[in-house]
Amino acid sequence: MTNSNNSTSELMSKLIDGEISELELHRLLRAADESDEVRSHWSELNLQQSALTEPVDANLGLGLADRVRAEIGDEVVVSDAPTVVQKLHARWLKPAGQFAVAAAVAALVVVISPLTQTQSDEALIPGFQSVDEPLYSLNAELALPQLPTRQVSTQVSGAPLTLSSTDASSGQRIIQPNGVMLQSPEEQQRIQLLMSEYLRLHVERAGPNTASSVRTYLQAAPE
Amino acid sequence: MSESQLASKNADLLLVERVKKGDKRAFDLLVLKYQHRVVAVISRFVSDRDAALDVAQDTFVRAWRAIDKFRGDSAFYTWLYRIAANTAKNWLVAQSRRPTMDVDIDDTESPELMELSDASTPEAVTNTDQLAAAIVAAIDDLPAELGSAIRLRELEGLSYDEIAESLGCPVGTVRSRIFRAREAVNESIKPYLSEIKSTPSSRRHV
Repeated sequence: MTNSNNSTSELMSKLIDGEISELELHRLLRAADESDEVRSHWSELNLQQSALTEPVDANLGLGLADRVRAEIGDEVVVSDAPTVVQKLHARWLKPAGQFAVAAAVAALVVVISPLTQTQSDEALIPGFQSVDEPLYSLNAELALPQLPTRQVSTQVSGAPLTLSSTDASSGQRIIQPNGVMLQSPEEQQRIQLLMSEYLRLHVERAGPNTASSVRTYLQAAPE
Repeated sequence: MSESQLASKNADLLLVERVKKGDKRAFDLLVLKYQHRVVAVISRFVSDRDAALDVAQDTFVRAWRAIDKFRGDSAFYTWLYRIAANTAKNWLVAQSRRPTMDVDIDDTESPELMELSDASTPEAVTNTDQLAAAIVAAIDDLPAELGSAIRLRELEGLSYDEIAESLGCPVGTVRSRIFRAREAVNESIKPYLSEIKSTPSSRRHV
């Protein structure tokens, strides 16, 4: 028997007597895992001890233990270590949660978008039921004069919005057939100036904190 | 409980704690440690050796799956013994046969059942008796200092401290002597074990 085997045998003797340390037990377990000779020796030492006190079946080698090892295979102990179900749960819970959130958002978009889109589209098509011009023309029936402006009410992001489609030449906002809202040049220039001023104020306040905000200003600032 | 039994319980608890953390190597050592006793107990219920080995396998697999339920209040072998008896009885029910003995599985620690475990199959008893005689003979052949240490440990059930006090030597020396005695005895009984495994009555080697 080599010195290594002798050392392992001594560890077995210590384990039998419950005098083994954690480190020594770790060494013994590793040795047993790597060598059937060690396992067989461990079995024999315990057979020797058991046979002195009670009936034993001495006609056993490693076969039964090998069969048990094969059957438990990859099974996980239901203990401190997570179970198979717990492992699967842990493995899939986070992605599933993320997927659920994403799905909920997507569902909201799918549900809300057509509604919003429908309202917008309806506002653009002839005969849309507007505030002032219902399909059933009460004005005509009552012979009341028509109003010059056709106002359409809808909702954008939950906030009520009333649009007017009166006349582009008057400088007021108009609604194009594709739904894009255009402004007059004066209005566009005023909005651009407001935006530039907003960016300048933003960069002045954020500038001392980060260098990136300066870059943002440089990139965003008009020529 | 003797010091020897207490030490064995502590050793089992060390292994069980590792098993609970998922260490299959530790469970393998428990299987190898108790397989001789478990098969002997099951053979009392199940006479067919192949079937007894299948039941023993099932017993250990059940123990593995239920290891979290073992709290260490009793000895590990007592708990394992209960599973073995229960599994054997279930096997008999599955085979639509009446158990050879009417055993209450919930009362497996009763004196009657422990007595039952002491009366194994005639063949096992014979083998055990012969093996025990061979071990005692091997101990008798040991040098005096080794023989004394192993006798006090295995037959009298004394602790290392008690043996050291009795023999007037350090605990480390006791530990070394017991280790060397076990190795020597193991070498002595190997021919006998080989003979058991090679006899025609050995219906199946596993």
